[in-house]
This record gives sequence, structure tokens and C-alpha cells, in this order.
Amino acid sequence: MGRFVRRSIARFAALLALAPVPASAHLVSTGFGPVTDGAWHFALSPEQFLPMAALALLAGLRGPVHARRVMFILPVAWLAAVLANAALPAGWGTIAMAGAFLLTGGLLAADIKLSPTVIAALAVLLGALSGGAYAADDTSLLGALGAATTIFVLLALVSSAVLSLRGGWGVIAVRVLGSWTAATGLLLVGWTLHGRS
Amino acid sequence: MRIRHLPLALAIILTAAPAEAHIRQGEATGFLSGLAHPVSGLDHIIAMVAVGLWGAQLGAPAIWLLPVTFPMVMAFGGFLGLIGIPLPGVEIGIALSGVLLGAVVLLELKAPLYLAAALVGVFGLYHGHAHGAELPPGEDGLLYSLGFVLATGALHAAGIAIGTVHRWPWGRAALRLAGAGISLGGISFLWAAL
Repeated sequence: MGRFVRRSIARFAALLALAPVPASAHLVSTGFGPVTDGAWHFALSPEQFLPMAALALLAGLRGPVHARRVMFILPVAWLAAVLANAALPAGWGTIAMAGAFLLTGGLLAADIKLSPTVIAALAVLLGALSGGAYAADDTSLLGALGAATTIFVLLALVSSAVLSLRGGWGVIAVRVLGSWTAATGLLLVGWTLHGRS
Repeated sequence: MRIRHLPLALAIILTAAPAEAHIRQGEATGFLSGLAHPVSGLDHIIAMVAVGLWGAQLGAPAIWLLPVTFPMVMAFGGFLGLIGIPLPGVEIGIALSGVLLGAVVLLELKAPLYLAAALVGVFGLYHGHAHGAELPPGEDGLLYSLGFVLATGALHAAGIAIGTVHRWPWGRAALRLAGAGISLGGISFLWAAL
């Protein structure tokens, strides 16, 4: 092999190495490992975290007992659904999450007085649905652990933020957020039925 | 070009990234499009601001109940529009919403809560249906809907914020004047729709 050809190949290889294209095999690749990737995957999925935030707001409005149940039960139910690979059938993930928006947003907007048991059942239902939708994308253990930890932190922060509210404009604002969540869910159902989503 | 520059040129070509300066794609486009849709037509804007103004005139609980009712019913109208269920006279209904909501602000009408909610709800249905039927294909459904609902809520909030001047005599007069302007705007839209 001539010197010219060798030098050309070396330059070519160097340029390819210096101009990497990001790998897209994983849904979110932070470079900090699968736990962080899973956490960011969840954090960048509004269809996952918005209904959970709505349920956390509702639980927070009801009191610390409700908030604690949601905070511990929902991440466990979610993690169980992901690790059991209970993926929802294709096309059902969006419908399920639209229903979750409608249910949690509607309950929050109406400020329904639910018992801790019912709130816990809702947390199991939402965890199973969200986990089922997530499992269609990713079922890795470390990624799911990262996401479940993020869910726990989200629920703790959101529910504790409203626990201190004692009526007034704060509660009204939370209920308005619920109506917006429900309205988004209703539009999302329309999108899905129309085949545009 | 000298032959020894060929590998360099080849490598640059093969590693080139596509220019995306003007390509609107992905989720952010869906959110921004949804955010822009409710503020894209003056007929929608005046009606939604009027809801906030009327709520501010009526005081609690209407001040928050009306802006909660409107997005919910509007979303239902959007749902009907998306799945293709027709609603006759949509443009007339939208124009009438400007006329009547402007008129109630002008008259500072103290309607019972259920009547106020029903009036706002009916017009929300028309506005939502128009939006639902106009939604552009190929956008991200969730983020579009989120942007859409947030922008609608922001317009109501703007109306409520303006309506806080109601506590002063000059503010009450200014609100009634704004109601007259909204009603006149509605009449012009009604004229165009007919």
C-alpha cells in the first residue's frame, strides 16, 4: 500500500471518529448510565408524568394519608407493570393515557372527596396503565428503577406542595389545572380516534 | 481540486448532518402549534377574554368557574370536531359568542351561576368544534392539545387580570366599554359569517 493511500485512509478514519453521530438505539441517552437514562426518559414523557402529577395534586388536596399512599403505591405498581413486561397492545397506550388524563383531571377539577382506599386503588390503576404504556418502549431493570425513583420524587414534591394549601386561590388554581388536564385528555381521545396521533 | 484532497472531501460529505434550520418537526412543533392556534383568530380571542372579564365582574365563584367550564366544554367540542361529528352554524355560533358575551360585559349582567355557565359552555362548544375540525394533521396529539388548552387558559387569565380593575369606578366603566368593543367585533364577525 502506498504512502498516499495509507495517509488518506488515516485522515478519513480520523475525521469519521471526530464527527460522531449520536446513537439513537436508546430512547434517551444521557451518557450517565441506564438509571439516569430511565429517569430522563420518564421526565421527557408528558403523557406519563402529567396524569401522575394530577393524581398527586388530588391526593395532596385530600391530606397526608392520601398523599402517602399515592407516593408509595404508584411507583411500585408502575415498576411492577414494567418489570412484568405488561405492555399494552399497540395503539392502546395512547388511549389508556388519554383516559388517565380525563380521569385524574376530572376528579381534580371536581375536587372529589375520595377515601384513602379509593385513592390507593386509583394509584394502582394509573401505575399499571402508565407502566404498561412505558413497557412498550423499554423494560430494562436499571432504566425502570431510574424512572420509578423519578416518579416517587415527582409525587412527593407535587403532593407536598399542595398539602399546605388551606382553601383560597391556591386550591382554585389546582382545580383549574385539573380542568386543563381533563380537557387535554378529551382532545387526546379525539386525536386518537381520528387516527392523527 | 487535487486528488489528495478527495478523501477529506469524501469524509466531510459522508459525515454531513442535515440542515434543519427551517424544518418544523417533532414534539416542540406540536406544542407551539397548539399554543398558537387559539390566538390565531380575533373572533376566538375576544370571546375568551370576554369570559374572563365577565367572570371578574360576577366575582367568586363565577370568576374561576367560568374559565374552568369553558376549556372543558371547548375540549368536548374539539373532540366532536376531531371525530367528524358536524355542528351546524359553527361560524355563526362563534360570532354570536362575541356579540352576546360582549353584551353581558357591557350590561354587567348579574346572571345566576348556572345560566352563566350554560351560556359560556354553549359557546365553548362552538369554539372547540371549530378548532377540532381545523387541527392540522401530522402534529403530536398530546403536546398540541396541551399547548391549545394552555393558550385558552392564558386568554381567560388575561381577561380575569384585566377584569380586576372592576374594583374602581373608572375600571367598571372601562370594562363596560371593553364589552361594547367586543360586542361590536362580534357583530362584524356575524356580518361576515352571514
